[in-house]
Amino acid sequence: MRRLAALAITTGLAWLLVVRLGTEPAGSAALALGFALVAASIVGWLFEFLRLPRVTGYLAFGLICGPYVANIITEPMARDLRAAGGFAIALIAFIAGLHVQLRRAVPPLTKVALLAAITLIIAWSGFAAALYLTWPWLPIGPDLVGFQRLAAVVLTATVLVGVSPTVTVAVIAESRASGVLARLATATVVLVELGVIILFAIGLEGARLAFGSSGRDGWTIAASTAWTIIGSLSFGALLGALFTLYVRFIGREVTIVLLALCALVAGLGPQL
Amino acid sequence: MIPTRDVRGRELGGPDPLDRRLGTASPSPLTWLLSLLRTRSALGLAPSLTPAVIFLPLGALLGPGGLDLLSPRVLGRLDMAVTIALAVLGVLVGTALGRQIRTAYRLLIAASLESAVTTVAVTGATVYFVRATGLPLDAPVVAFALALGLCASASSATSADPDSEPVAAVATRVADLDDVLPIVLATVAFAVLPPVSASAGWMFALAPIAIGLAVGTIGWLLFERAESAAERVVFVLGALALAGGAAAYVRVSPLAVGLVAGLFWTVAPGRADRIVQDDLKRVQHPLVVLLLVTAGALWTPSAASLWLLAPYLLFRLAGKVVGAWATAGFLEVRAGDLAAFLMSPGVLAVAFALNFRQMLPPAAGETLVSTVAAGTAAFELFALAVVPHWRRRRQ
Repeated sequence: MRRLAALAITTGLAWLLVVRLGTEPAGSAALALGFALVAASIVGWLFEFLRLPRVTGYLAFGLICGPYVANIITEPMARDLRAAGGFAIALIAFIAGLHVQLRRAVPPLTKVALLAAITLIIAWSGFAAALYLTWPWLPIGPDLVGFQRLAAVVLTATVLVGVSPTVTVAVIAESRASGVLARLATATVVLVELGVIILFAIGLEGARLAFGSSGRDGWTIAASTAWTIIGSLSFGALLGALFTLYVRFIGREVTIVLLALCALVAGLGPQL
Repeated sequence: MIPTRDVRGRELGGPDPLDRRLGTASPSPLTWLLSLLRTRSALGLAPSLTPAVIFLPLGALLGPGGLDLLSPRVLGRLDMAVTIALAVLGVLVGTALGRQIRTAYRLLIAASLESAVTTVAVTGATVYFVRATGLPLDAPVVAFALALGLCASASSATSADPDSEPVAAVATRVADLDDVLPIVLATVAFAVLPPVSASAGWMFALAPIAIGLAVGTIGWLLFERAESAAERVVFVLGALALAGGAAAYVRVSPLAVGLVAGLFWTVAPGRADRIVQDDLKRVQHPLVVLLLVTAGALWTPSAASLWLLAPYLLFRLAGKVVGAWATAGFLEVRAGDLAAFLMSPGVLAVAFALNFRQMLPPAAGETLVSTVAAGTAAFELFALAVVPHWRRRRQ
């Protein structure tokens, strides 16, 4: 009852400020963040109480309060929240990294890679076949035929088959799972995502040839893809090593350093 | 003598909780070298360097005037965190007020008198100085001067360990409570500053109380019933973000909203204030650093800010000395001792400046932050020199 009362006051306050009183952009991101943290947590709890997944509650809350329904979190507010989102992703990924036990990987990496490959192939093939057959009825480019349709289908299927390691880790953390299945799911999703990045680079090159566009050459795309994968791993490893040295030899104000590191990753990572 | 139990530097809290869990770092040859720059000292937990001395210059170095790592775009994005940090400081002032108001109302009166004297001294001097020199400002002179005076009234007493001696404990409690009057005056100033009608002025004056009470009620309903520590932290951070964001959204002071919420949590039945204080320890140091680095990055060495620095330094010093002299009798301590401990402005002065920056026209806001940032660094250094020397002489 207390939670429902808190939800009502929170929603009422946000609605009064955003919908009734103002269009003031200042502080909108902080307001959206506070409203989302408090209200979404309560809605998640409510869903769990009703034996439904918490994550579904969060999504339902976002949908209802977002720009397309109640508009309590307006489009500019949602845009401003991306800064917090990037920071949260860096923090979640950091925590996920802490839980990866390379020496105790269960099952071994080869088996996980095989599982990821099979998952990717089956899912991607299914999407590609369905898209190819239904293409004339889709509002993407119904007039495309032959090689051009094939290239468009390859790209669309690749986009659709993409997974999010961050969301997977968030769901695992939310459900407090820590067993073999959770570790397997995390590792599989990471490998599938790597496969999707490579597949997307190949698909993009194919689309460039099919549509005769003068984009970047194949080597540039390959180099860019390699940099995305290897560069991000190297950058993360470098920061991780520096952080380890800091904790080991200084070990003071670790929270400040950790948050600064996450801010650095969130801000600098995409620019690299 | 005022009782000295349960006294801690409020702005900085205790040691970082993560550090305590990790334990001490491995000894190494680097340890000795790094001990010179211990962040423990930098955060004012030891009576040597205070955070402002380290992080204000660091912010200036990283800011647009320096390496430009904290570019105007990044600083714009940091506004969200700054707003939340202001609400957090307001909550800390509110909880300090709520705990001490029943037992130490004499302290509150004395602290308010001391801060009022400083505010009047700096405001009056600034008005006279600006009018006499014809200094160009793109804001009403009285409003700007009042903002500068309110920034000057803040004290932190972080130059000494509160437990080191009775007068340091009293000074710390005075410093805890002398921010209440400036926050209240800032709320009134927020209602008067914008070109609004009388009815809208009333709304601006009442909005912090209404929002603070709403956030206080939300927290009071949620904090104690959280099912896990993680959920409780989410509720606490959410409530604080809501307080700061809602205040900024309707252009009222996040400090005032935080103060009302903090006061509510302390006065209301239950343990909400303890829960908030415990959970805030996790983010208290990062928020202090954020405010100082942001203020440092916003420092712009303009002619106006350099000219205003002179009356700010001189009349803040005079205000603190006269304020300590006027209140020392109530507190049964020597005026000189109290004035020496109250010299350090701490992070609250910077917080006031960042708060007013959100209200003033851009150029005036920049001048205010620059003056207060430079003045804070100067006073922190002054306090570092004065307090140990003062203590040695007394002993």
